[in-house]
Amino acid sequence: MFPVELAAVTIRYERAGMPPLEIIADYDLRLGPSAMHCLAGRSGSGKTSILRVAAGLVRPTSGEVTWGGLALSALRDDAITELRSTHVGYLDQGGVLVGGLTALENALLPAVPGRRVRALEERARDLLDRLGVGARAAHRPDQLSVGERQRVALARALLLEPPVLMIDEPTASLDRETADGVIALLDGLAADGISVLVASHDEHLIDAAQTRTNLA
Amino acid sequence: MRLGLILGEAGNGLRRNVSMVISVILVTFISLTFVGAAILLQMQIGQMKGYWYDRAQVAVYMCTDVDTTGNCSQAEATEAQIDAVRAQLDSGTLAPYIEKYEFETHDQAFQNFQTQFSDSPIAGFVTPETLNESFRVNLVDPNEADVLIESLSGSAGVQNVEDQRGYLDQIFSVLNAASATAIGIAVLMLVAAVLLIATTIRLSAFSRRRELGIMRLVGASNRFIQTPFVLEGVFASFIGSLLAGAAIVGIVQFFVQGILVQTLQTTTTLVGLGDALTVVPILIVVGALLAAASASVAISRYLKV
Repeated sequence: MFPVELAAVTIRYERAGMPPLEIIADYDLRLGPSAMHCLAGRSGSGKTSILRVAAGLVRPTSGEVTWGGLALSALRDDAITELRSTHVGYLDQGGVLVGGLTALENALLPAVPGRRVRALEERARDLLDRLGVGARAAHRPDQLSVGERQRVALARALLLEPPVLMIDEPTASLDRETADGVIALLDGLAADGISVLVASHDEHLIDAAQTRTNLA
Repeated sequence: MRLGLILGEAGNGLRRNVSMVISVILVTFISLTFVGAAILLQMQIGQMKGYWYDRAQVAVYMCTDVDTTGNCSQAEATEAQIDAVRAQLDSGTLAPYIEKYEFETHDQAFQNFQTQFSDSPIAGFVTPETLNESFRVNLVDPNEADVLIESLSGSAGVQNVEDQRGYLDQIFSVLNAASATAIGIAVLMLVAAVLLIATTIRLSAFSRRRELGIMRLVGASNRFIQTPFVLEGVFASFIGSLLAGAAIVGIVQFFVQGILVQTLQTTTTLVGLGDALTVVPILIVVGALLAAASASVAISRYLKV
């Protein structure tokens, strides 16, 4: 059990010479296991900002983010990073990979800080296979399509079997068929017990989620 | 994969920003060369003081028959006057300060003059009579020259009492000024180097911001992420400091020991290869430390933002 909770979170950006930009105010969210929650809204509505706050990448202007009962405001950056690496699989928009490494090496990146690359190589290959990019394991990112890159990034996010998955626009650059495949995959992960928080404007994905937050 | 990743990232950074890296190398090279030159100048001063200060004598010049300065009135110092000065030097007041002294006659002075100025046209115009006879005194403590000067300046037949260290002090003040100039330039250049390294690192980090984002996501610690950038900065400055070291050795070998020695006709007190080689590691360490500090601060501030 690793619930993710946002309590009265406000995200506001200060801008020089202009009134501050408020993304969201007093926002509450409770993400439990075996659930998929969608932050729904068009581009620019602040979905990414909320996701990044939930992932501990950015501190909220006010309010509290709690992981498994632990308040992030009490933790230093390095401590949050370590906790995130084992408990939260995060995928940013576009599925960015490290250019000089192969797909397999990219998928194995989470194993590097803990020096577990050899131990997890099998699992990485297995994940790439399940995601349909096993045959591309030795290719570099510039040799992969956007969809393939996204799936390699998903494999990376799942490598350490995190209880929580946070994904930003997983179907953004995909054709309808591939996108639906990814949605089915995420559904399956949620059914397996993983908490999935996804930001998207894809209607199919919004519908597939159990709960949703509608942003302007 | 860990070490490979760190080195690979550092290598990437260097390759992507070649022109900035070259700038860092050049600025570090120039600034550390000035630092090395300043150190060498100080070493030179130290060596010269060590060698010459103790050899510098106090000269008591006796009147010749053409002198009108001092206590002279165009009359050669008499035997009695010379003996009187000698007696003063042997007296209980002055003897404790004196290690040894010699008397240089007209002929001896003439010989020495011919040897020193053998290449010069002056040698042809000088006769023994025009060169002063003198007592050449080596003091126990060369700092006490004033005692002698005060005691003997007023004596009959004495034209002038001179502390030869005065000449040395002139040379030392020129060298000190040169040293200060070199340090001034070095400091300015080092500031430029530090700022340039910081900018290069930030540029490097910016061009790799997406990969940095990933590394952060997969749980890389701050130190893991920052290390390649610090290495980049240290590597570039290391090349610069090696070049500076080579320049310093070159300057010593070819300019000091080559040209200067020929011009000044003395080998005893000029800085040599050994001195240059002690400066080189100092330059490398200074360069590395400055680069590491600058890069560290630059990257950690960048990542916090």
